[in-house]
Amino acid sequence: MERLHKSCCTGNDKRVERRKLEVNEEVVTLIFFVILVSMVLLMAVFDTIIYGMSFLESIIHIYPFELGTRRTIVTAAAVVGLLVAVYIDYKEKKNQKGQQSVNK
Amino acid sequence: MKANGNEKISLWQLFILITIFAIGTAVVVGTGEEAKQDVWISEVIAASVGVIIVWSYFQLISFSDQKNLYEMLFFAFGKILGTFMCILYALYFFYIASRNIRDFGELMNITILPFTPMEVIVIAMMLPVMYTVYLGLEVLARVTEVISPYIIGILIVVGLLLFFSEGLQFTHLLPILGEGFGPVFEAVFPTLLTFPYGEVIVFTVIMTATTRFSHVGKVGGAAVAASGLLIIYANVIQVAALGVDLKTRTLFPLMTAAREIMLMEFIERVDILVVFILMCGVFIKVSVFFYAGLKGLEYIFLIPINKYIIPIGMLIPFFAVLNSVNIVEHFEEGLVIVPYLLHLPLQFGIPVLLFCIIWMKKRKNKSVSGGIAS
Repeated sequence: MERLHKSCCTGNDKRVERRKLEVNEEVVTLIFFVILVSMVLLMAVFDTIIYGMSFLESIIHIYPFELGTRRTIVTAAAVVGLLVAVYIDYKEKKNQKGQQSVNK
Repeated sequence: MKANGNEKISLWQLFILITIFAIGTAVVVGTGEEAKQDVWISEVIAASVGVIIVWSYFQLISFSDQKNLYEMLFFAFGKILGTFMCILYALYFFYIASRNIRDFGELMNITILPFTPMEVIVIAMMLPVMYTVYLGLEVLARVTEVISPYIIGILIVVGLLLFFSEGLQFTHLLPILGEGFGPVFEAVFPTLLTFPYGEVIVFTVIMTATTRFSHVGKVGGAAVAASGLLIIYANVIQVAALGVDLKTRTLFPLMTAAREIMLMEFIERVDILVVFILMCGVFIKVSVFFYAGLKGLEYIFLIPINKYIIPIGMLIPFFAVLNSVNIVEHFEEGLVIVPYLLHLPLQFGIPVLLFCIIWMKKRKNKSVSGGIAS
């Protein structure tokens, strides 16, 4: 993880480093959902324009919530992404707790 | 080996990145149908404006004291609105990345992997992208350096092979401006202007990571000019090989043109080379968009991008598939709706607004500091 952190910073380095020193709350899962929901809403808007259907209808049109279709393949990938996000958050929280007990 | 913290790319790497980024999908996917046989004239105009666009982005960054796009948005719009704008741009970059991946999935499905589900193809494509972004911007730039000769070389070779196999009929390019400049400008605005030249907005995130920033404007302009030449070359090949009617009806005209190649009854079916061009082009383009989007999230939530790579990377194929039901809707959305609703506001509207706000803020600061000094 440390190697990853070193590798991925360019313009925002100072800000990110400062934040890491200040507070270390993890919100990867929240960000995952923010991106997911916003993108689905964006696509629903486009479908509303193209097909002239209602907003709710277009959401169902985007994802019909059917299991066993080929879309399940990418849904499975997205679920893997979600699990990884939850794991990252969990691991970070655990590290934070460990750090706090060492400081005490 | 990467340096701790700041990653830097050279001017040459930036040049190659912009060139391959711009030609990535544009040479394979048919655009500018409105101009018919004059598509190359539309492309000349679009590329010329593209040079001005990239130079304007450079000027915007210079004017804001070398802040990248997200820093500029925060500086200009404040914390709350700035955060919203940053999320909007990050979403935009992810959306375009998913569209490009979809392009690739559709082409592979049509050409070489007709029985493989597109869902599997897009996930398989996203894995190397995620790995490249995980390794950082420098690695992405070096990969582009390695790939670029193949992409440019193959493009030129396809044209030459078509020429030698007598597949090119330059009479298809006539009459020049038969219907005047109307259709030409119709093709330029907004389609050709926003795709691919306007998409260079993504480099406002990367340009600040260049070693000699003062030369970025010239290098960016030269890169767009070079990519413009290659796109014009591809357009001329497509029209000369297929004619206007067939080119308009084909989803991937360069590939259909490449199928016409038959030299000495030995060299044929070289359309696979075009698939290679699209594969490499999409890889670079998606990597750049994905990296830029993640940088936005890093800037807003102040968490290093490595933590988002897998979660968000796994969402991109999901969006790519959910984007549209079929390829017709995909192209309809990309060429009719997205340019007006997303490209124009985010590629031109907000940067112009940014420039005005930063200019006013700077002027205000100057007058305040002038008042204190006096």
